[in-house]
Amino acid sequence: MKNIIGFIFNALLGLLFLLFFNGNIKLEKLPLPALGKFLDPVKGIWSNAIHSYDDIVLSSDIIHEDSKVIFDERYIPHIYAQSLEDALFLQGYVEAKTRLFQMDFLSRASSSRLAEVLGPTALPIDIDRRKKGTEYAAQIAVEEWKNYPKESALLQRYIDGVNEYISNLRQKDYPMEYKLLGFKPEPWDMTKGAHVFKYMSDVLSYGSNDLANTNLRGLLGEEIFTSLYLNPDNLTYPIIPNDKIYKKDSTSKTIADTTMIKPIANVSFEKYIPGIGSNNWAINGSKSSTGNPILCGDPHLMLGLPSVWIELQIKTPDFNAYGVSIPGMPGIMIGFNENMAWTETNVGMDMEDLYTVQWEDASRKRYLADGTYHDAILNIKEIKVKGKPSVFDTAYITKFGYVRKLSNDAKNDLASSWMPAQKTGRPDFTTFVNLMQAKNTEEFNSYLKVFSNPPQNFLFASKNGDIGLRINGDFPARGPNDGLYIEDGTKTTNLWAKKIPFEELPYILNPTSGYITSSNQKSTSDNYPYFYTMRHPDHHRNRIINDLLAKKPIFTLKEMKEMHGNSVSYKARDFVQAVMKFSDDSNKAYLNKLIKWDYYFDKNNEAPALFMELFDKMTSLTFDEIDSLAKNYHVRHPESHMLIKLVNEQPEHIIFDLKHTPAVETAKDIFNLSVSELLKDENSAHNKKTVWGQSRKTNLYHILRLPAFSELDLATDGHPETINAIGTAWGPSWRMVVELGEKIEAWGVYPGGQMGSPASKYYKNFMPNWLRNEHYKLHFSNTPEDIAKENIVQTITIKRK
Amino acid sequence: MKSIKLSIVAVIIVLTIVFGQEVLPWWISGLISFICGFFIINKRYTAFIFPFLVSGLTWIVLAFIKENSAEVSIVNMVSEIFKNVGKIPIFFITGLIIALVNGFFSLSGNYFKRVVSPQPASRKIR
Repeated sequence: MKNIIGFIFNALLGLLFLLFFNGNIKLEKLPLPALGKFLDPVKGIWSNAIHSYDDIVLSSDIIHEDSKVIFDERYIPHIYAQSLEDALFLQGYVEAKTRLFQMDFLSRASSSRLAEVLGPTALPIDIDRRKKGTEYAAQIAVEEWKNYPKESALLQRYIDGVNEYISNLRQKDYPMEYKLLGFKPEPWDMTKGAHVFKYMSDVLSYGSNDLANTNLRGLLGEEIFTSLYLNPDNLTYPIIPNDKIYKKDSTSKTIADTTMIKPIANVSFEKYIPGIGSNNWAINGSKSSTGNPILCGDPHLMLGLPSVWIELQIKTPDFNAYGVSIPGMPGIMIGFNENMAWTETNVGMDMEDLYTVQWEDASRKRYLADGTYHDAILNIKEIKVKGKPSVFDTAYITKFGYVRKLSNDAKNDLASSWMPAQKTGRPDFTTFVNLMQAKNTEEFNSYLKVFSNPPQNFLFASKNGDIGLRINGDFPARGPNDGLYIEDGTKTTNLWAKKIPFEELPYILNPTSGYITSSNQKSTSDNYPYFYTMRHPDHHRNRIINDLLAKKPIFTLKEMKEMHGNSVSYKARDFVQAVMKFSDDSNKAYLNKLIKWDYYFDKNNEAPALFMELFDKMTSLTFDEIDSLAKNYHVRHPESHMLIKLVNEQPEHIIFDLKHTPAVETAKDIFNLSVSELLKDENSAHNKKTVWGQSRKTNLYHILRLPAFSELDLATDGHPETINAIGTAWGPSWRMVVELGEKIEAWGVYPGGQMGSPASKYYKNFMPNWLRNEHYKLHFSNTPEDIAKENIVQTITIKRK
Repeated sequence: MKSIKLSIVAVIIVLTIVFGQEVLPWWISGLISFICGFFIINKRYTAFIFPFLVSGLTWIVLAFIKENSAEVSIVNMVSEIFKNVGKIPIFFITGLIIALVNGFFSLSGNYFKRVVSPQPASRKIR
């Protein structure tokens, strides 16, 4: 009996430990990975320590001819294939090899599938994502892409490459995040690719000021709203110079929107992250010391690990291209080939319009449009939750778009018409596959016709001397004020009537100035015939870049590279110059430090920290009326340059009056009050003598936000409103300089590293160079032999089966 | 004789971990320990402690070897994930996982042997 008990007791105990360490038994209050699988030294996380750089020979029946991939000393893959199809197969293969978890995660994030692997903590993120409808937009895109079999076949080649890697992946070689979370990679497909595509569309073109504008117009009154939010900005240089003459398509919508929707209380809506943006500029031969055009790319995106970009070269007998791609998407988004270089900044035009929804009842089944009720399309999704029962979320789709459920009683719902969720009528994903092959300006422009969203300022330079920029994508053709406010969603006449024709999109080629720049500022002057609304118009970076390029006749390559690291702030300069007139004994101690400053956001200088805290303090005191509205309404502050404009032009504007005092304050009073409060505050940067690098930290979080895999608390120069737009979590994501001489030469650097694995030495090895703004010379090779042997880390040869 | 038997057990467990775990689940050496406890090990105390130590140490040594050849320290990252418990506890936990599973399975195998073929009461179990 004793032996039977002993056997049962020990067997159960062993089984209990096995099941616990295998992840079958979970402790609610102690969320742990399956420790047995995770810490298994043979197949678990320890095996991710081993990186083999031995040369590999593979065989595949998908490729047409033998191909080769060489990884250079920074682990940049150089793909040498005999056809575009084979090249895309290899692009898929190497992107999966280096960034599989990142691709998977982006696709899951876009399609509300995070809770499936992360558990209940990610459920709110998944449900929030459903509100945006990126998965729905991806479904529309895939349905449409399938109508283009030739182009879809190219995308399929990329997918085949990803799956070739996944199908040969052993459990011990899974990226460590899979081991930590305890799931397996799934085969890649067109829908997953579309999710990544729409994820980026969301980052760059989702969001609307309509609700905030509607609330503010109703609550502040038309006059104050107009003076604070629609006040013309006379300092910005439009991307396309003012003298450009436009023709107009007579059939475009030009009727002003006159709907007056009342403010809507107690509904929340996402806010923009201030300071998101990008720079690009190009000079032609007349302004370059070598006589060759130089193009500089500087997209600003979320700073994270792994980097948002992956760098690669693709060489076939027909083209040779180099640049960066988003993992999960074929082609090269920002880069160059033997003839052209190209780079983008976000246009930032308003791509989302909101409409009221008048439901028949709270069931949200039928909605009113043009006098009759129509059935809404119900889109039900099972959101799987790891360790918990699934949650079912219903989305409602009307003629006005995907419905944002903003209230339980369905009375304040808003339908969202989002351009990237509209049918495009073309295989837009092929744009960046085609651009790799562009031989000249004409071809480049013809390839841009296919592109739809998110709208971009495509800057290019060509070896033959052209520099040009096309503001490109699908834009609603708007009449005056269309898109500024929420519109009446019971009339289909309020829907977008048509898009701006490609031929009428703003375009500039070889300006007499010899340079072109864009920084998310206004695209055109006011003589552009279509009404134009911006999500986040840049006011400062574009002026700095334009002034720098205008003030010198000739630039060297070194100066072009140095511009990427320029941390001078016009915002700081404009502000200090505006408030200098308020100098007196009470604020001299504070103001003098700013007057002596060179307006450079240097991490070791105290002045940037003083400026930021003063600017923020004055902003919050000035716009106290708006902050008090924020308790009940979704509102927003005016653009940051508006405070400076008001101090300069309307120092007695009613907005400076503090609501809680009987006196009527002016800009000077607010300035003095701001300084006085900061001098009294023992935690202020002034009293603590905090330098900028201490006051503001830059964080590059791993995609799972695990500190162990992240690069945190970095002291950095720059500010989102300087050219070197390093922010807390956003910033320069790919600094690229290309000189288009007889032999193309290029330099580039991005934050992070090529490998997605935190255990790899190539995970964040670019960080020191990125922080110092030191570009790497890029190996733009013609043959594998062009890369010096000592610079080759690994070679993969793929033979046709 | 005893040391030969234990050496055989050690070799079997180590080989199972090093090679078997490549294709089989991480707990496969637990199953092997059960068999060893049944067929090879006689003493109850030894049936627990020996597979416990051999398998635990094997996991620790393998983890240590991989950590030593790592480009970026794995143990530092894992420690940070687990609220900075430290490097040594991470190695210790790594070994303890398999040690507990193998120890109890081996012991249950040893008890099972006594259930299916009871030893004569006069004979001392070795």
